[in-house]
Amino acid sequence: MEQNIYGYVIAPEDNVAVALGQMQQGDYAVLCGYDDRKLCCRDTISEGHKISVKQIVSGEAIVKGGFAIGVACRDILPGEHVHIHNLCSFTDTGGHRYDNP
Amino acid sequence: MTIHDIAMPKLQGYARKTGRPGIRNKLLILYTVECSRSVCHKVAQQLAQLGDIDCIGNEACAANEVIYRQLASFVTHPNVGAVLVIGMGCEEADGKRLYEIAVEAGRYAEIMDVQSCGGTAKSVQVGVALAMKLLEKLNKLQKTDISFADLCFGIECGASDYTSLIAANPLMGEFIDQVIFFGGAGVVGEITEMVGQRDTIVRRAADSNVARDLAMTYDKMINFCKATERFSISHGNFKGGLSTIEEKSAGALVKSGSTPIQGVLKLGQTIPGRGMWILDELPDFVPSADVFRGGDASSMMNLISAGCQMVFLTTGRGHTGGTPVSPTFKITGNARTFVHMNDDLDFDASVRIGTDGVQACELQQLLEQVVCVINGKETCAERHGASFVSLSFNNQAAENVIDHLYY
Repeated sequence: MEQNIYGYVIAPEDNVAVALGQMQQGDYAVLCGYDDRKLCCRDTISEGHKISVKQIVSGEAIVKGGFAIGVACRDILPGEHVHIHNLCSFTDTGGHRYDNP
Repeated sequence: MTIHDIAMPKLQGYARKTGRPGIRNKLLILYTVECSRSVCHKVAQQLAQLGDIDCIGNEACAANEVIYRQLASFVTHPNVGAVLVIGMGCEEADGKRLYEIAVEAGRYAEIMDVQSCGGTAKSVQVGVALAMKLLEKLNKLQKTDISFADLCFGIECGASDYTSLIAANPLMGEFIDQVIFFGGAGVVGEITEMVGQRDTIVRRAADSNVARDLAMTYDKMINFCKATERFSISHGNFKGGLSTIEEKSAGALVKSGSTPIQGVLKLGQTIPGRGMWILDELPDFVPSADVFRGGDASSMMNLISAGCQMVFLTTGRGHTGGTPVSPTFKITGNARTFVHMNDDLDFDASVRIGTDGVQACELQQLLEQVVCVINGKETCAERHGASFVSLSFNNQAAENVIDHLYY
């Protein structure tokens, strides 16, 4: 029996979930918290990182735990990894100076 | 969530002649400059078995009204019953002024300096004799009944990971709401971790004056961060999955609970009353990163100088931090970290992860453990001994410290 991988939707208005374990591309993640769907992962996502649970258009706010945590800097499909490559701070415009993780 | 039908826990502490009661009965050995620090530690080491002793002091050979106010709030801290001031003899900070403040606040106090005593060995001898005299009086004090309305709690987060926003920090927020429901007070610092949350914070102001001060404090912080290109987010945060300072700030803000914010405190100002307070630790003058230390050590010392009798540190990656004077209680929402760093962490808050709501039994359990600590049970940090000790120099405007009174 395969073990479920969970994506945690913290608040109902969130458009991202937190990966509660390592997710591989093609895995089906079970969303928990406020959502019970299964979602296909388009990327490999490390534990603690974010996975998109909705279609997000460039310029839209990314919402996690009910907080706007930044803005999508390109279109994001459901199941994509959401991190510094497609999510920008509203304030800290020097974020590019950091190395990619 | 606040549990309304809960019995007020029975608490015991030490009444003081002035100010709030303490939950510890400490002899504080205070150095007025880094130069006399080693003598303070030697005295404390020799007497460790005879009483509850902590050393803190002024790191720099410099003094301004801010540092005096902070040191003054340490020598009159609720957890401190006796004070031994040990100076070098030639430093800028005036130890006599602090000694007099301690005496005026009804603390047993003594003062000495290393140059007059004739060096390290003789100073340690004199210091031990004076400290023993103080401990004899201090150890005679009896505990009395106190309540949550007498207590202030500081909340800090450090070495965060993705669990901070979803476990330890929300639990902390529920805890402090419960404390405030009981009549107590809470304070959070780290205003550099409020980036992006201006509206959320200003909306929580208790009245329009507080709203104005919160907005001004927020704007000062944003200008500081932009001018110094210093946002409180690091490689480790990115690796752990945090993408923006706003995301980190959301987690940091959650730990302050949901009650109205009563006001903005400046460094060295003690919490005037019930409810939730914000501590502004940033310099008031020209933004420059070198005059601001930041970090958990300095921030937690600042929370204690605001009068907190106990401080909480929430962590994800794990933390060894511990404060003098007030016990540090460490909470993690990362179950693996809790097991991995078991001798440093007091509470595992991972149970709510993946659920759609708060866990009433978890808050109840935390309250029970905190009540034990208030009544004397050692925290992990107390067992290991304090790891933070010095106050760093800061240049807030002294007139703001005096003028920012809300009561």
